[in-house]
Amino acid sequence: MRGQPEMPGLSASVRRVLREDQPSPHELAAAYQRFERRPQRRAPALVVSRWLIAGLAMGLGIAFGAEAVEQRVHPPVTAVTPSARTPSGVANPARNRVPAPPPASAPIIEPPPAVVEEKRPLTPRFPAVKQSEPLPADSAVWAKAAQGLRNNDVAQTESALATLEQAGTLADREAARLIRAQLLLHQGDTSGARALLQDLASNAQSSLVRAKARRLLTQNSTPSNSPLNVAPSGT
Amino acid sequence: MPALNLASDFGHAEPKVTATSERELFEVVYRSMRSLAGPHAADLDDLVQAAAEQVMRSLPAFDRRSELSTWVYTVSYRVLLRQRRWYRRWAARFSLGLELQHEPSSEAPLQSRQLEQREQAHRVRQLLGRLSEKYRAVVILHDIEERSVAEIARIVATNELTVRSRLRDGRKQLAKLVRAHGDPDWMEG
Repeated sequence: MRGQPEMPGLSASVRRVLREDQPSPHELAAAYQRFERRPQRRAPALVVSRWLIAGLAMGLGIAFGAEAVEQRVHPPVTAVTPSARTPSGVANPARNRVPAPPPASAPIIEPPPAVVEEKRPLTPRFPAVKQSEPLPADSAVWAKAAQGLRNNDVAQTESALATLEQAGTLADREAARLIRAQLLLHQGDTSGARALLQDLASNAQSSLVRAKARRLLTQNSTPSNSPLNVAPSGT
Repeated sequence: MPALNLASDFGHAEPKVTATSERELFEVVYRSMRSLAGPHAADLDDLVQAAAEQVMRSLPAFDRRSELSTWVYTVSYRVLLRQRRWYRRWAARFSLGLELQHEPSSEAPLQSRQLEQREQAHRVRQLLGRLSEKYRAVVILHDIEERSVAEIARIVATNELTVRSRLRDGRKQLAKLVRAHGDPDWMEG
């Protein structure tokens, strides 16, 4: 190629000048120092594992956060029965579930105690094991049951209780069964009520439900002390 | 281009970069990129760092079908084209307020002859810098670095005819620029 160009190139003197224009040792050393200080690329495996760890941490955070929010919105201690003792002005997360007290003409059914779940560990569990448990029953269903009691509408009450027994949490179900037992007592179905109360007294998860069921069983053994004859407090 | 002293490192099937050879290799990269982009290119440092990193990373794949310096030129040329292409796209939207060519910094007081030579080299390189990367690379590699057409074809990844064509056109453009802005004695004939 050399010596055959059709177009003349740079003159020999200019070429020589350009060839002699080489970087100084100082220039080279400074550039190499910059190169040595360059941020090292991480191995791809390390990068992937870091992303995995970050994803796991985010997932754990979201799970714990969701459980904390869920516990705050639906605390484990819930009053699930109609009660005139709960002041309406008191901030109570379960207040929406507490229907208004029945009128004097309504059948007097002693409210069951608040259903308290068994003591849970303070530390949050992972994964959220409550996923298999159904969501708490809608407060509207409890309101419907209370309205049925107030209006002496047995069908409406039973319908609402049936819904609660099937769709609510364990606390909802046990409280609904306790009310159903009291309703049966009110209707005169003593044997049915006793069977239900005996089951609750021995098998209910909540100690308060068990205690209340036992008390109702005891009271039901003496007709004069029937709970149906006890006026609710506040009336 | 000074002779490389990396024979011992590249005598093995899979060359490894030791601390010493890395420094030597870096200097080869620096010289090649400085030659292609020009010593006063504002982005020379970025280009050198990118090319050096690419060279160090790709070294195990170097198949020794060409000289190491030719391979380094190949990598440097690719990096230069890629970087400049990116810069042109970027500059279409934003502005750094910088030109890619900047004035040289005087490191030490120079003798008058040295100063003259440096000034001349700077002016010639400025004119070379007005050529497109493809023409400039061929002219520099052929006329200054004294590479053969076959080597240049390997470096710029094209055939020899294209290299000859680019050399002819590049010289033509350079001659025009020298006539307009330089000294006619800078060109042959």
